[in-house]
Amino acid sequence: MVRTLADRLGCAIGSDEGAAIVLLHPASDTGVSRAVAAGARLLMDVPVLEEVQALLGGAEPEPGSLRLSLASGSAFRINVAMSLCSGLVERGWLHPGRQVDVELCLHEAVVNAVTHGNLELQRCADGDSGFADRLDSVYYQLTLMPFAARRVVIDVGRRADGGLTIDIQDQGKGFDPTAPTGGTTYSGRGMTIMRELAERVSHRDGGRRLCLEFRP
Amino acid sequence: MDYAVQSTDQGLNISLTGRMTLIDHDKFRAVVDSIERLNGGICIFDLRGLEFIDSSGLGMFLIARDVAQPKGVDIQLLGAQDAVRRILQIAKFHTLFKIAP
Repeated sequence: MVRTLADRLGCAIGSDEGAAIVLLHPASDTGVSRAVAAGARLLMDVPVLEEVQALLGGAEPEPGSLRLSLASGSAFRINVAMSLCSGLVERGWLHPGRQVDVELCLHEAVVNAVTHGNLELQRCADGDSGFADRLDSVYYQLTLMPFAARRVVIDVGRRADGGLTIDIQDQGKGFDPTAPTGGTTYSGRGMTIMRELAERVSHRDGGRRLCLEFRP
Repeated sequence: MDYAVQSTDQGLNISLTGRMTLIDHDKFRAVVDSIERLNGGICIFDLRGLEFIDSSGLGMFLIARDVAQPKGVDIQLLGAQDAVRRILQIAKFHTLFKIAP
């Protein structure tokens, strides 16, 4: 269906470098970085018709943007932030001097989107067992529906001044971004890091969409 | 993340390399076990080969610290490179650990 729609509208689709729409089978670090570097506009680990329709129908925010849509399992398993940022540097969208900051923020955002968003896990408890329980919970929830089917969608856009906007959207229940974070001794520093390194951090869609902005 | 634990006259030298994130907790558990066997002394984390650390990785150092303190073990973070050093600064780890270049 996705291929048919893309073909009809004259949009290249495939797993080859240079395709506008790239299906990642399976999602991998090198697959993401190479496709992004080669100019892909939409990357998916499984075909999602709505994503293609949005892209081809001009629903994307800006022409100079790209979207990476991954199931929670893929988003947690691969190094999304590292591979995406690596590709963005090679594509010329991200200055190498900003790569570390953007990668760390994106990493924290994706982990939050998967664990707190799609998998609906609360912050891990204090203590060593808190981390162990968190990891076990992540792997367990990733085997269950509807959690496993939920996706993380990352939209990257270029600002006029050469900076970047990166939106990370999950399909969880959302949260109140104005509420206290409830961070523990051992966890809860992700937002602090993002607020320190990004130019602007904001939430939309009831907390399901985190919007990061980075200066050039 | 990979790690190597080496006994020294003063205690332990633990070398961490690669990327330290939530999925490394099981490996870090083994590191903490080695600290738990100490009775006094210094545990140096050699971070020269650590390329990336996230907020979960920071939390693991705090776990190590809480295990070490009752044992009288002093934890030091040595040789963090630019990216890791910056995160340690943001997290104000200099107020919690001795951090050396």
